[in-house]
Amino acid sequence: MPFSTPFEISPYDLTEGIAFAFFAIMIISCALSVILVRNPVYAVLLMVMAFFGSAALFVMQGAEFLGLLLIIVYVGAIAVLFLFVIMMLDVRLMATAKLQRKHLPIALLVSGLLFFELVAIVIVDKPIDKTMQESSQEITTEPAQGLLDNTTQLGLIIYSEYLLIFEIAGLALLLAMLGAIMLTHRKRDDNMRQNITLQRERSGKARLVNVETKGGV
Amino acid sequence: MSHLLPITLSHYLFLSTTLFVIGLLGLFLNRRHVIVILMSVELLFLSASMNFITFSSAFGDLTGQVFALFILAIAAAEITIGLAILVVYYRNRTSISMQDISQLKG
Repeated sequence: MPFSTPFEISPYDLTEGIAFAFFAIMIISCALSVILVRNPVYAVLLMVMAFFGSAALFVMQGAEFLGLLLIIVYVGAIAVLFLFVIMMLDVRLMATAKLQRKHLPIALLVSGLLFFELVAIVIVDKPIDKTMQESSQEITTEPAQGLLDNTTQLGLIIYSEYLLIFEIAGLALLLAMLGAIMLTHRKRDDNMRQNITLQRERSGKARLVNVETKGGV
Repeated sequence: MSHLLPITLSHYLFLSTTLFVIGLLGLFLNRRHVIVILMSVELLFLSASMNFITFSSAFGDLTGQVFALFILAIAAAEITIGLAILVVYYRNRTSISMQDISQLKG
């Protein structure tokens, strides 16, 4: 094509726009349903859908490692954890609970104010978009020729520059695991556990006998 | 329609702002039990990490993605402890109602 009109939309832009609109609507509607739906099991499943949409958007933005990590961690671990806990608790009791409207005015006030503040920042601060266009930005998931892909780059930076923070994050996860075990672990009196010390201290009853051949004890 | 395209930084920021406000509303308008509040906190975390990733890819700087990774780790730790506390509380009181939790208030 020898020239291009200013209003021309490339197929790539159109695909990206449609994908963004689809996933954005999915995220927003699922997030709204999470806080409005009655059954907590449905809420967890809708939260999983919202996280799927976000993972897709992360991949669209070129952060494919984090997108996949979001699916693995949230869908694979945290949603299952939520479902386990809900199944342990009384679901019928939770499903009957009504939406608490006591704080509705102040909730609308605070969240409305916050929303308009954040939107105003985005609208007023247009230079952000300019900076974005200046700094190269064709967001693609394909690594350019000779460039490393997202996961490799992230690995290189995590294990060198952010090594200390990475280890602290691991320590935080370890502490969370230990804390959860300590909190939920309880000793039961009714289970049959072998007490080695007690067995070995059976003095008086246990003795060495000379067993007669073919006679038994 | 053409003014909506291509997708810029602002679109992602609008999305994460909306998500944050929904999470905040979930904190306020809860169903009197703790589990939806924990899910709202997860939505807030998601909104924050979405902002990090958006700016990371906008400025071509991987630091934002690293911090989104740490947000993910801390969110996982937080939710583990929160659900463990919830289970212990349910074991002691056989309810997870918000009213009962505020009984300790002087």
